[in-house]
Amino acid sequence: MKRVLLAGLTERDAAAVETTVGTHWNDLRVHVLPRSLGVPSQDAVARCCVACVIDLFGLGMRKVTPDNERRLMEFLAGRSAVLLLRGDSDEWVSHDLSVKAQQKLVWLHMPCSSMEMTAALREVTAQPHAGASLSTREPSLVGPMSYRPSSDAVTSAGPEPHPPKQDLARESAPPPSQHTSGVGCEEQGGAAQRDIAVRDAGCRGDEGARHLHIPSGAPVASVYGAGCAWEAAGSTPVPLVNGQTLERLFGAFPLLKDLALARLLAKVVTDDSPKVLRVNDAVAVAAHVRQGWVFSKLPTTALMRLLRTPDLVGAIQVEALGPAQWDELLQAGTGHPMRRANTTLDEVTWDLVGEALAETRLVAEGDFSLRLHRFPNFTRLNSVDALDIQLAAICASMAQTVSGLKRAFPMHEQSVCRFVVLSVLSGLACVMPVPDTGAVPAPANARTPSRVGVRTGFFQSLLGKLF
Amino acid sequence: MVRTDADATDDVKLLKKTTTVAMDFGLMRLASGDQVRLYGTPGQQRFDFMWDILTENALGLLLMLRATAPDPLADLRHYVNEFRDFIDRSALVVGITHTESVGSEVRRAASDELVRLGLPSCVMDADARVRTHMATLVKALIYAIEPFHGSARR
Repeated sequence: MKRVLLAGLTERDAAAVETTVGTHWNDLRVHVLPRSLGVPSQDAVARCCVACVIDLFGLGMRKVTPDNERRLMEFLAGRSAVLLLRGDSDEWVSHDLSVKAQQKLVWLHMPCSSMEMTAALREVTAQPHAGASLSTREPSLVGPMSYRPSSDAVTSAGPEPHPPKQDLARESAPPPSQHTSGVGCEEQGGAAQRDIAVRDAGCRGDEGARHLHIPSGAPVASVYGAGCAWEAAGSTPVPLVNGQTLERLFGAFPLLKDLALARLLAKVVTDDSPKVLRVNDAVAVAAHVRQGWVFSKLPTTALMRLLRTPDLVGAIQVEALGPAQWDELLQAGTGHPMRRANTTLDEVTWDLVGEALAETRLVAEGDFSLRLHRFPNFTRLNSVDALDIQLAAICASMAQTVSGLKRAFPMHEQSVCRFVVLSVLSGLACVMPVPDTGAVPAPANARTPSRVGVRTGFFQSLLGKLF
Repeated sequence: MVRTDADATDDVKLLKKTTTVAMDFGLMRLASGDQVRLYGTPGQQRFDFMWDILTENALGLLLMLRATAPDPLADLRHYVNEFRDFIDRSALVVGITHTESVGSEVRRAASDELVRLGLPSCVMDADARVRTHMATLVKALIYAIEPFHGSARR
């Protein structure tokens, strides 16, 4: 696994680059050196990175000086790099740097778009010594749809090619003090490329599978990595939310154990058998976890009131039913059409837990990695925040750690924690342990708003229009 | 009056009286002075010559699938295959319409199918006539294109 070294970047920018890399490259990861406003020392993993993304301001090199130039070129050690400029640092672009052969420097003015960053990364990782065989997820980079680099991107290349002096392909284990992403997904289990079975053919509904022409047990590409909740199962269907998932969630958010609704949900979703929820021995709710739907004879408003009342929720008894009992319940009750009469489990869970958490301050006391395998059905949810959609888009693209998301959105820690909890409890996300090389604690300055001005750019204007 | 709809004469007439035979076009003017051009293209294969034209310089793809189609997953696979190069360079969000009679099964299956195809599972139910639904889909598309450059980031 080849890596790109990120140095001098803010936590948020590092997270953005990490997402970009994870989205566009299958076999490329990032290695982050914490921002220190100076030139950080490089560990073994950092020295083995095939290319760099450097925020010159973050390395204390805003101005071009002979000393800064020397320190920059020493830091790069002949590697190609995307160099991020802020403010009036344009003199770097016009300065004639003594780059080595085959070393390519791509300048980007911050803030830049993901497309600009992607194009810049593509340039620097396409260098022969940077791993020309890196397989991007784009099957073709030529043709009329090829990305055209922004005019902001200026490239300088070395004058004459000769073999690189360093063997940059060497790999070694990262020290625990550094943040090396993607290790958990691809390397821990060592099975990133294998196909794994659909964790639950019944998740789609057996009837749905027939209607939708899905062969039962059809393989799902392991785009989530080997650490997913169903990793150990091989071809055995395993429900996404299981005891291990909940253990990780409750371990990271111990306060959830005090939430009656969360405890109730834990009983309901801990296995995928059909369940009935009884209040005073009367069936109040029927839930089919595997097929993902919930039915109640109670009016929705009454059901909501019931589930909003902690004392009542605590008194609810959860009973798992076998197939025969379930069929009996269906026949005695409302019959098969009831599955379409109410709502889906992920939607009702999201809304109910979201309400229950409204007054709760979530504190993440642990960490795990998660990736959305299903998108929240935002069009049907009661309360949707722009950040929820943004987080969902990020977590659907690649696995993210809770700590990483908090660092990426330091002003929205509660919203991040809420999103994580809702995604997991709603059965939308697979949960993986954080690799041992886990993230370093966020530096103090990551908790403060960025000093970089916000560009009122195209996407921001578009979002402003839509929201 | 210029219309992009015409009386349906093929199997589409079983579903609706008219169908899109040219690209739909909408223009949003943003406060920044930028303009967003929204193009709707007919889904029938015989109009595929328009797809390449419309995806040129496009930022992302919003695919609307009818849940009650004979095989919506086959439809999904077909369009993903047709637009795969473009999707890999940009982003895809799928809206599932006509879900009233099929519940969440198609959404769940479409999500799984996208995962199987190596794509993020950005799938939501949607009523194409409801503005908020469509706005939510577009928002998801924007964040899929630019995950860290939205207003909510700061």
